Amino acid sequence: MSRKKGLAALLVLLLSFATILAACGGNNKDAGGNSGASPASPSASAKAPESSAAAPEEKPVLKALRNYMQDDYNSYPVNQYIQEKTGYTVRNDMLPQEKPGDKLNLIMASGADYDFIDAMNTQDFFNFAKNGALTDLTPLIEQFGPNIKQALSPESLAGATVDGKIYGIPTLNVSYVRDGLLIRTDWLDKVGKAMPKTLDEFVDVLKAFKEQDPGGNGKNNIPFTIDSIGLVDNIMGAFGIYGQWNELDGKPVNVSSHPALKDYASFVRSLYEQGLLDKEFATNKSATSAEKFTSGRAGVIWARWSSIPGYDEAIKKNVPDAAYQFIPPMTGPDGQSGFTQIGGFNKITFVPKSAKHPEDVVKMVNAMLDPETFKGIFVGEEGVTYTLENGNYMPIEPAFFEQRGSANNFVIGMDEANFVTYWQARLQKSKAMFDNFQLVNNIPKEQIHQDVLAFAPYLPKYSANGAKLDSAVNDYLIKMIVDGVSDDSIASLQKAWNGAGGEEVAQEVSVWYASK
Amino acid sequence: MEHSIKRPWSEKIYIGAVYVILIGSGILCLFPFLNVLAKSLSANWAIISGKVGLLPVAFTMENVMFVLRDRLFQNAFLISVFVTVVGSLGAVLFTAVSAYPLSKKHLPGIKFILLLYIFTMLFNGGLVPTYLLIKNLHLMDNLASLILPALINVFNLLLMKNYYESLPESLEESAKLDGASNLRIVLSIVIPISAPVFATISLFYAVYFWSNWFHPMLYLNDPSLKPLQLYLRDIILQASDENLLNQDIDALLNLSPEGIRNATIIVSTIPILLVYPMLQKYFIKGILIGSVKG
Repeated sequence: MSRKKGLAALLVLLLSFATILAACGGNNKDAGGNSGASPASPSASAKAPESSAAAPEEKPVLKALRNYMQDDYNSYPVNQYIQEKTGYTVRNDMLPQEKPGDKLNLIMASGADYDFIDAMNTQDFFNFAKNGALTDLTPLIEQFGPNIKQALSPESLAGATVDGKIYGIPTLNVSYVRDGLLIRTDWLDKVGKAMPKTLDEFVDVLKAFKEQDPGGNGKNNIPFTIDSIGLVDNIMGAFGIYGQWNELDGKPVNVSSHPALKDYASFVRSLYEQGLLDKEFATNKSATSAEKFTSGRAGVIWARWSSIPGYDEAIKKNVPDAAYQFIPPMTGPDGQSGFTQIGGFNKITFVPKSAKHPEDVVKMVNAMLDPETFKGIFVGEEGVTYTLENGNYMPIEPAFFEQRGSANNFVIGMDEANFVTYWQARLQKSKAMFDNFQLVNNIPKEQIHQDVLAFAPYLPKYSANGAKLDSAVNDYLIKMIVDGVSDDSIASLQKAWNGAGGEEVAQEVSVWYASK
Repeated sequence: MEHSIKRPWSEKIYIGAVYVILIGSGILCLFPFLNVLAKSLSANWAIISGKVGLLPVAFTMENVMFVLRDRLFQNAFLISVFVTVVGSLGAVLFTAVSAYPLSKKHLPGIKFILLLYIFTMLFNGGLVPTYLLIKNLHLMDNLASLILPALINVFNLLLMKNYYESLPESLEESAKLDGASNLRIVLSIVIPISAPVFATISLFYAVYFWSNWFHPMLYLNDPSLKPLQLYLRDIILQASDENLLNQDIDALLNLSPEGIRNATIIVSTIPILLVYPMLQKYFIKGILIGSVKG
């Protein structure tokens, strides 16, 4: 009996396994047939003549490769909206969150069957364009893209142009100041100080925070905390440093050879020495410094405004009467001040040479950039996902964040005249975030310094070494702040930077900058 | 009446110390897990401000419920279960079927064939050729790309072959004398007495299929095919400092709260946590299988 049972079980197992494998194979064939990849498959050959006879102009399903997002592209409401408005169904695949560039290169190298691809790293795009892997979109945009030419500025299109040919459709980023120093204004009131306007006043305030301990934290009191970063926004601005690359006398200069670097590092070092800067900052992760601030132990923190909604809830629970805001730009010893503005392209969408429907891609993008459609994609419908209040777009929760919160991943090219206004609806998620965004962004023009490399074209050496160079500067600055600043330590920073390929990159950057 | 031999004090202290140290280090290993568990049951504000240690603060089931209701999570979970179940069954079957003839040394050319298997264990094409192979077989975006290439793991195959070899030959001979066919011998004798090795190997395969994230990352672009490990990795990496620095602001605005990330880890660990203790004894046995040849 039991032997028979065993035999039967084995046979069933074999059978089920075979069935499942067959089912997998079947799925694949069907999917291939739908996108027209395998004309030999019977399901495709049966469908094709039928559909072409019924509606000769039926629009093809476009296969897209997108950047990582947490939600599912294909079931997200925006995908359906695009289908309704443009008539094109897009089947979205997605790159992984981790090292998307590696995967993208693998896919491109092995022959992609995608109709269009979003490249988050614009340097990847330039690589493909140089290697002749992309379709020239210039004639197609000329013929089918009036809205594209209307919505995108010539400068933007020039950013996706290689050797006089437009190979991609660039999607602009909102330009904004991202980081700043949040200060506890209730602490300021308690120690009887005003909002610091200069670095001297800042030091004065920190000393008061340290000595008077307005938070009642005892030995856990931290006047000022940051992550393990070397360049602290607002403070570096007071020394005329605005990030890794700065314009000095019309030339791009890396921060490693910035004349004010030593003064800046000495200043931060002095904060550290006097016990004003968090003793543990060199090992802080962003979660650690957030912990110190939101539990009410720190008076000032370096933060991105995008973190404010989370901080706000936490700090209000721990210290119910806590109040905080970004410190406006502080003036340094030479009267300089300001913030770094981040911007540039969010992504560039391109059509691989092997794509089957380049014309349809351009037609779809053109339809998406119709001003009304674009607005619908980006913020949805008035009364459903947003309301208009004095020209401000206010989100309706939770509909807005459920249906349009990830809309930026779907847009291809921006309605450049309007998207910033639409985009601010996202900030209204939290009033504290919106107000603080305004605080660091609505400042006089001369205090805003655009990142020098924001719109840089393909710079091969920079793209290969940029990240390594940035972290070399960061590491050496942290070391100086902890160990002491001297001409030797500045020299060793420069040596490390050069050793990581800095000199060649600097040359490449300045050649490009001069030709601009 | 006391029959047991009294141990000297020094030995009692020694044994006691050993127990304390072992229990202590065991608990130490448990701490990070308890911390994640506590976070998954705490309110988000408490996690951000670092209040959560080993016990939840401001207890809430919201995070766990959110994860359980999340359609993407459910989908990823089912995909992982499917790949693990089908993959392990298939792999055990194929491994067992290939190992059996390889254990019969008298078959002509069997050594050469075994060498072919071992060759693939030592040398392989590498990442890009394998990727191209999968692509040209039209297995991209197909779960078979995770199962088919892993059906035979040569190491497991050798384990099985050694086990078969350790079976006394007289067992099969006697069956032959009684007139049993080769198939009959395999089905009625070899398979029933190989239960331990089957259990071990299927556990090895199941763990492999369950925790594999690299191949899905390479071969699957369709988000709806994402298995649990890939989903988990994305969620966890989201808030890494490197990611915070490089992501665009819209992605940062959509970050999932810390509590939900921790709840995702907990919920996806539980199934394998439940299976492990029951199979652990096979795991330990498995290491010894085939190590001593009779």
